[in-house]
Amino acid sequence: MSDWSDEAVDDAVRDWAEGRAAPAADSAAFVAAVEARRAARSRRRTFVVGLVAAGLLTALLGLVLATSQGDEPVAPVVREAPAVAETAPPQELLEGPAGHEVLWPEIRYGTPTLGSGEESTLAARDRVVADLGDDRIAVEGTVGYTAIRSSRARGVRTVLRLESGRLAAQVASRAEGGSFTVIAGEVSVRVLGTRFSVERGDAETIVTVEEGTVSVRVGGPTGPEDVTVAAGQRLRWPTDGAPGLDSDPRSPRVSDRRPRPARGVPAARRVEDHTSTELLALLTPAPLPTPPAPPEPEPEPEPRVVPPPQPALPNLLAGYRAQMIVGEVAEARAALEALAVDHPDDVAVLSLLSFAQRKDGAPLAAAETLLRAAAVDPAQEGRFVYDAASLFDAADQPGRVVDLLAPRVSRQTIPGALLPDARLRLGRAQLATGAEDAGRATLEELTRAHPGTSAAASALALLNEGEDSL
Amino acid sequence: MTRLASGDISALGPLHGRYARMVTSLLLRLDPARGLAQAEDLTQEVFLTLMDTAGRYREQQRLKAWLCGIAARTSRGAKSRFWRRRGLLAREGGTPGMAAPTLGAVDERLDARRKVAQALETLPPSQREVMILHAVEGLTGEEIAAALGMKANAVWVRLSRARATLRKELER
Repeated sequence: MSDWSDEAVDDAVRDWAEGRAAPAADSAAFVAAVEARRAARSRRRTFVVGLVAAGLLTALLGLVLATSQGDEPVAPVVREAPAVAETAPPQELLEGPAGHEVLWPEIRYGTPTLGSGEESTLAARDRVVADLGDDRIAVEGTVGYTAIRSSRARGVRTVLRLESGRLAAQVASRAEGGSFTVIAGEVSVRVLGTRFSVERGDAETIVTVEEGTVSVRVGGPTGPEDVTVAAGQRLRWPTDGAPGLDSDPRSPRVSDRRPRPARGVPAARRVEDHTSTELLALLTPAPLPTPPAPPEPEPEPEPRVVPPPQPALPNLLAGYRAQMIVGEVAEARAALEALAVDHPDDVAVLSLLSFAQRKDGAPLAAAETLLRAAAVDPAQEGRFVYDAASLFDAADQPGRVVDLLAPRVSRQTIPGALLPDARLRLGRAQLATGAEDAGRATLEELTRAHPGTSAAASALALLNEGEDSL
Repeated sequence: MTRLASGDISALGPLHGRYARMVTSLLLRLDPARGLAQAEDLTQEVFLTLMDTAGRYREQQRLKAWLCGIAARTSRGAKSRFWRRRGLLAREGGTPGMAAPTLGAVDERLDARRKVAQALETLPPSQREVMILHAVEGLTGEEIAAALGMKANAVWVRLSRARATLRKELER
């Protein structure tokens, strides 16, 4: 009996569709455009549709998260050649003796929407990892970018505009004439060969440097200032305040250093955790001209794996991911279970283990692993618990669903995007366990709080069904 | 719509405000390879067609369903124009057997989304249209039949075929 009822399939399609939704557009401009178009048509001019290299979305079909040491992707990554827009004044962007080559992002992981033209936009609801030439970026939010390689091998000029959200980047060293710049509002970051992240929120903009050194230009009270941010440091730029330079307490080199204020600005506040470090972790090493990393350990035949030194753990996990690609799910799962014994508090290990358990046909084990991860990582607790509850829901265990979701839904500790669906599952589970009133209340709250969502529609159907049967 | 039928283009503004986002989103979904700029461009075409055919619109129909029909036809037309102009061969799809590993079970929704995208890509256009108009846009069977110019039975047949393909992919 399939897990996937008609309704579940439709749900999955709706969920997918949410990732392919258009932003709001300006009506006045639209009407003017249509009018112009109509006039042009009536003058019998040929109407050419401008096309977009966002056909790169087809690259999603063959995605593999690259393993470390820049291994070749296993599945073919499909890319359409960018087409030239012909309705606007033509911009020749083809490679040639005197021309430039526009670098389009090669999506490694995630579901983005891409804009068009020489200056493009990458927007990601969840996280996207993409290569722009030899650089790698991880994005959660909206980024406008231009990456152009001059054909005289003068290096790649890349400009990224962080409109909102977070961006982490791993930047390759450049030839003379190249540059890599990130602009986030009033802050602009210029780098050569580093790993860093920029986070832009309503209250502040934060630049964290993991490797190398970056130069950050900020608009200070007395004009633009250049602040150097080195590895292990973080610059915070509150929207209404002066920037301050902190040392990242996580970096072992600077753990006992007190925060140093930037030149002429007051001392900064204590550094808090940010998910920018998670984004940085998504940047597995791109093929950079650096000394080779240690080789991947081979999978052991015995269940017990000797724990590798700390820096090699991501390599190990990448290896297990690769194993699962080629179908050795059971072996990878066994190895990960052993690994989890030695690293019981490592969220990445638990996450990947639960994925392996799910793939290996053990959804209940996967759910329990997710709950372990939730206990270890309070920042992601809501999300982990929701995913565990989804697994229990699919495995027909409404009691567990209620136990897990009821307190978190009422306290709203589930991430907002997942809340409608969480409410739906909770409501259904409550009905299934005989808690009619609670279930109806949950579903009614869902329709009030999230009108117009597919979850609300399902809730309405359930509520009506209940009334019909009375 | 009666204003539009008589050539009053100012009626377009409020119609755009209400429906443009839906149309653009639908165009984005009908062709997984389509980018936002092309979808916005085609949205203009859809509304142009809406103006040209406003006389044929009957009050009993839902305007949304009418627009979906125009969007579906525009979407198909655009696709074949693109390929003819560029003379490109059919794209290779991703290898269907590849389930790309994700960073962990929390990203299983992305996993499912990618599978859905993959499966939708392999569907024939009429099945894809029916699936999206039904599951995403919430059109009734009769509305879909009218919008796409097919019999109501054909709608259900295509829907169940589409679901079967998606189910197979999601179960991997």
